[in-house]
Amino acid sequence: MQDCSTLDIACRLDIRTKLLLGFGGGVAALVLTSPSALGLLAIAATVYALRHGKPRPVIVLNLALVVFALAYFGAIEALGAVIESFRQPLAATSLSPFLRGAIVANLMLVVGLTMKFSDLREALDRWPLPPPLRVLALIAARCVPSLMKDLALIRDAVLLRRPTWSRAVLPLALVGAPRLIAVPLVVGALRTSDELAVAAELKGIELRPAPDGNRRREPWRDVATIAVAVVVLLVACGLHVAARIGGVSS
Amino acid sequence: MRTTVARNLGIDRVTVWLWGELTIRELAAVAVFATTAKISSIAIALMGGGMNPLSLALKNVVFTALLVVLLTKVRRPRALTLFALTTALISLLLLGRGMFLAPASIVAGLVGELVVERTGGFEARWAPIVGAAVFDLVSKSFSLGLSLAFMREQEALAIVAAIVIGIGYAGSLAGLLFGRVLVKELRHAGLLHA
Repeated sequence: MQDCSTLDIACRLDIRTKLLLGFGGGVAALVLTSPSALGLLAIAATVYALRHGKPRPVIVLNLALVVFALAYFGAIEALGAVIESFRQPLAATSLSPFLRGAIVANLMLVVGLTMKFSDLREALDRWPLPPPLRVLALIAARCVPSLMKDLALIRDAVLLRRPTWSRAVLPLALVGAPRLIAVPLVVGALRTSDELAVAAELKGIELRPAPDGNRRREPWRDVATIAVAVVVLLVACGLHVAARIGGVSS
Repeated sequence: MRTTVARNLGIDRVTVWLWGELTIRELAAVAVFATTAKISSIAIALMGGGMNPLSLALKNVVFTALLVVLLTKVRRPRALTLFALTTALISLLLLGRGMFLAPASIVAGLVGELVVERTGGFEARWAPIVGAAVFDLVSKSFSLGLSLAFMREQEALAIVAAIVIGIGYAGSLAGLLFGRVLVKELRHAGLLHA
């Protein structure tokens, strides 16, 4: 979780704006097929993700996608050289799945990297959720930090139990791990839920009104970002239509 | 006397149907188990050094086992749907993942509950296994469909996605059996009274 004290855009955006951009971008990526339109959206999503103030994960993600795409096309070419049925023309549309992946991954990465537990609670307070669901979501959100600590302890226990020779091979540490991981998790979950339920029963179910002191600041940033996203989307749709018309006429 | 959350909160019949006749104890169990299932999935993926087949299967084993234990503890309508909803919400807000799969997950929960209702009800012995199995099957089918839609131009890539989802589903099937064993052990230890 990132400290949002830096002067970056995404941290100052409302969580609803980030989710709206993610969902809109995802739907557009799913519908559009033209590589130029998808390419434009991918570039816009990467620029947006790079502005979140911590560019390293974004660069790593995009490099990983490029490496994966190169490895994939390399493997297809190699197979095509050996086996006749695998041989296929390398059309521009082949890039579309990777561009879609880049769009969705970059947009979602912003949500994941800039979200804090306090934002989560704040968002849950602001959203017009039905009362039982709000209780459910608030209990879930408040469990997360303590659960992370429990999982760190479980991870240490699993790492201590594995044989020394397997330390270089990480996945081997997980062989036989379901029991080691699941039993303390389940017992912990049973106890935590019982304790929370007793506490809730003793106190009564308190439905707090949405706090007035929300840290919402600068809503114009949300509006501006959405406006830019709409313009980019319209241009991408235009490119898509142009590509379709060009394809039909040719 | 059974005091429901919905009645405590003074909400209407439709909402009572939507959120079920869950007590606060059951609601807390659903919330805690859903959070545990989702966060443990992330932790296992990280412990396994990323997305390899072993950690992919293992996180599904633990997820489904936790779901089976929850459905054994909370034998009520909407428990499965609320579990799906909570895991989707956590996944969405903490990881930015599963935006498209969140509605599918809720549908999978509702389908799972419908099948449980039609095959002996929530008190039946095999109800937790049936509910978890149907939920896994439907949600994995949605995942597969979405992957195929995203990779429709590249059939080979779609096959890779199908293999990844297949490995995850194999883990879910193993999780059903493991969950059953876990329930027996928890009952034996006196930690689960349902």
